[in-house]
Amino acid sequence: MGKTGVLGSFEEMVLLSVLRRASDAYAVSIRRELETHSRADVAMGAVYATLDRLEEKALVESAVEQRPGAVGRPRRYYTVLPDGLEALADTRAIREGMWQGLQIARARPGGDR
Amino acid sequence: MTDGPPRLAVRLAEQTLAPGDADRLLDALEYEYARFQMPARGRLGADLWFWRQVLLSVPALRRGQSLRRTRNLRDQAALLARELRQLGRAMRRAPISAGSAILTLSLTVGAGTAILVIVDRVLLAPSPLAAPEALVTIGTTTPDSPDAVPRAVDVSLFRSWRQGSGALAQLEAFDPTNVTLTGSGDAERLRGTDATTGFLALLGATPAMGRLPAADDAGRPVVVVSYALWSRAFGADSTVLGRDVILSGQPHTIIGVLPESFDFALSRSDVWRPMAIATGDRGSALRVVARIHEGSSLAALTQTLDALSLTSPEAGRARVTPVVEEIAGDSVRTLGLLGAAAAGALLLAFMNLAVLLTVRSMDRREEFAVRTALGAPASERTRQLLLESGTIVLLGVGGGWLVASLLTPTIGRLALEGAGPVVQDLVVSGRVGLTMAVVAVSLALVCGLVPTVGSRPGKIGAALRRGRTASGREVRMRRIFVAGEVALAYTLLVSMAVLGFSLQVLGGVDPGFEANGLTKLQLSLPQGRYPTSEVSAAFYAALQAEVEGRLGAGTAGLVDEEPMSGDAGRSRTGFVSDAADHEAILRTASAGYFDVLEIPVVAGRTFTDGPVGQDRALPELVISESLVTELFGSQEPVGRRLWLEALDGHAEVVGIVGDVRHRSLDEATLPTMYLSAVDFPSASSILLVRNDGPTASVVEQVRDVVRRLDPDLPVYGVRAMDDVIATSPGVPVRRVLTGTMGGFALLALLLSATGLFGVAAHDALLRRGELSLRLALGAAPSRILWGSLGRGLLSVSVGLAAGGVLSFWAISSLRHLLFEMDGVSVAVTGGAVALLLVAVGCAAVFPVAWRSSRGDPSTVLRGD
Repeated sequence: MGKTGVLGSFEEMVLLSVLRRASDAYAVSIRRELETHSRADVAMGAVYATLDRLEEKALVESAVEQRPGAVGRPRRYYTVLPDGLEALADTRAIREGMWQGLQIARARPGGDR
Repeated sequence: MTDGPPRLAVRLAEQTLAPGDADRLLDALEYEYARFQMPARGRLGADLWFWRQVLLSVPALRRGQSLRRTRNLRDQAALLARELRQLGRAMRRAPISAGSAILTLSLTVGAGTAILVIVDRVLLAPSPLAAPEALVTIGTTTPDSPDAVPRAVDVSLFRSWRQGSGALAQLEAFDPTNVTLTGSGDAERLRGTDATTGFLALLGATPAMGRLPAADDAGRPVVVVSYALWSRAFGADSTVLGRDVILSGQPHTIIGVLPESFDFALSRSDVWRPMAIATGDRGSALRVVARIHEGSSLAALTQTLDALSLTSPEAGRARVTPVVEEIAGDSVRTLGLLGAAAAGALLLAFMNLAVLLTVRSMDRREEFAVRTALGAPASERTRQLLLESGTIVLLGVGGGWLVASLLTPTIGRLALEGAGPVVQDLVVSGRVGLTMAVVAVSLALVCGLVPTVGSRPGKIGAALRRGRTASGREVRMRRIFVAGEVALAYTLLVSMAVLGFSLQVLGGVDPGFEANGLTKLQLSLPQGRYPTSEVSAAFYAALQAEVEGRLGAGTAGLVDEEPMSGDAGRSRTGFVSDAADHEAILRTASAGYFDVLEIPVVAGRTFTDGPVGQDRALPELVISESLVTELFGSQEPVGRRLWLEALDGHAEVVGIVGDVRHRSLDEATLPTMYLSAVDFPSASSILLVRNDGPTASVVEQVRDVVRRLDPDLPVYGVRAMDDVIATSPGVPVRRVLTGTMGGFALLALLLSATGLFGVAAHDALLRRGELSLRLALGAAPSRILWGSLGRGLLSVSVGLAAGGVLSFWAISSLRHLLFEMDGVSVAVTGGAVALLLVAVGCAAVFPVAWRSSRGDPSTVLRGD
């Protein structure tokens, strides 16, 4: 396992959102990405707090840039660092290892949409 | 309405978040609000979305803030650790000054704590008496000298007081006495108290077993025993109640046992007997305690009793003293003085620390200036100084704790000689430790801040230019501190000197007998085996003869109470019973007693060995010189008759002897009368033996003799008379005060000397250029030398002036302990100490002054 330990599930989702948005990962787009996939309201404050934490752990880095094609003021764009990728891979491996051999049906009827 | 997001929500975010967090959050939310939410949800939906975002985001971001704060604290801790390491390096570089500051603090904090422990125990300890604040003792003084030590009270006066003050207070009387316990193992001499029946209840005693005396027990042969006696003599037997014991030949029934915690320091006793106040009694003196009723007051009681006393036949004044005050007695004053000395020393230690820190701060001024220039906050310097002062104080307090643990039992024993069980198991309590720690930390704070007051850190350029030398202000401040050290040193030295001289004079006081080589041993004859005075007298005669047969003639004497054991046991006397208006100590002694103690026989003779009635009609009486002066003036006393209240009859004066001290060396001589131990053998006697050999062998020989005469008779209370004198009232107090102040004074002297040297050295460094220039221009080196010396001695003279004022106050507080020292000798002592300090000051400053006047100007000027 990597030196950063297992990621929290929200941290994991934020990191994945940054990766998914690729060159367009700034706070608003990350939040929207998260909302799209989790189908729930995500607070902007929680996104910022998590990004701060990930940056401190050196899993992401950020820079304020005016990217070509972007409208409005310069934004702070986030990129996942190699340690971030490693942490994601570790977390996934652990999770899949634990899922192996388990069969769980959805408890909630009609939940399978 | 405007087009933007809800203003209130924006305000909420701005008010509750740190500015940076609020800005980026609002930027993002406003962007999304306008770009995505408005088009998708419409205005109301977008507003609701915005509100929801703010409400959810604020807690998340605030959690982040507090996390960042914790991280900041971690950084601070790391910084602190680094600074502590730097401090350690700095201390290792200059270990002597830091070490001496720590040592000084350890000693003074330790001594201060030890003294505080005793003060805490003596003054703040819970009293074994119930509601002690309402208890008073009442004595009488003569109308001429109402401030004299109050005396015991006549029975008739006690009765009239009791009747007259019923509404104000309950009055009870007691009379300390001695009894001999027989009938339960070896005979034992006990301290006892005869007291009115309500006495023990008045003090708040509740029996551990049995009951206290009731009103109808007055005068009946019943006794309440102390817990100690119950454990010792009766083996803590739970069936002891109702048992008969023989006290001085009289059977008494035990009705109660007092609890272990009971302690009445004014009359510590093993047996308490209920006393009857018969109507016809006259003359016997009682001590009186009272419990003031609620709603009444000490003043009201004093007034009432005073009025009754003035109209009584003996016309006296009533003196009412709180029991607490009387029990604490002189030890309060002693502790006050010790406390003042310790406070002075503590102040000194912290002044020394302040000076040390000022110097350190000067040494590091360049470093601080550079750091400030590089952007370090000004608070950093303050913090470092506080850290340094705090570390030194912490180490000092730790050392002080050790010192206190070692010192406390000794100081307690010496300072409170005779204060009884309160001084047992004295330890540094948490409360005392905490108090000292708080005092020390507050002073550390002050000391740490002193150097920052001395110079303004803001002027970086000036600081860099000046380097390590002091500013005028700093030098002035250090001069003030050094003058303070000199003042304290002077005060402590003068106090120590006058006390030391008093102690020395006291040691030279003639107690009236030769104590060197004299040993006392105590014997009590049980009533059962020695029923009459003839039997007792025969035993004593045989004892004396046997002991003298072994150790030599004239080596053994008998007396009922030896000198320096107290001034109890008095009798009124005069030429006739109606005019017996003089009081004298009354003792019974053997014929050889005066020879053995080397008490001079001034006129006449001592006792004959034959008993009264055979060849003489009256008991023989030997009186001391002071009684001769009081009673006879220039008349010839030998052959005259004196009436003695104790005999209720006359005795014939056969001889005059020198006076002896009965209680302490610093008291006035008390007139004394001696009756013959053959006429009036005491059930309990002191055998005094003079021998040059080792005490142990003397004691063994006497024990052997006693064993042969009466195998069941114990020999106890063995002590060298030298030791009795050395621990007599007034001596240990002076010794402990002289010792403590001496220690502190020495410390003060050392610190002043090093302080003076330090100031002079810094001064010389500061004026190096000026002095060199003057030398180069042809100034005489001697002028420079004298000038530097004069500057150094200025601090000394300022300190001496302040010390003079301080010591005036100190000596007036010590007045009661000064012995045979008048104003002139105190002034001479003060002058001598001042000269000593000037000499020490010169010695401290001279090396620096000498170097300044001998420096090579060209080297210095080239260097600059």
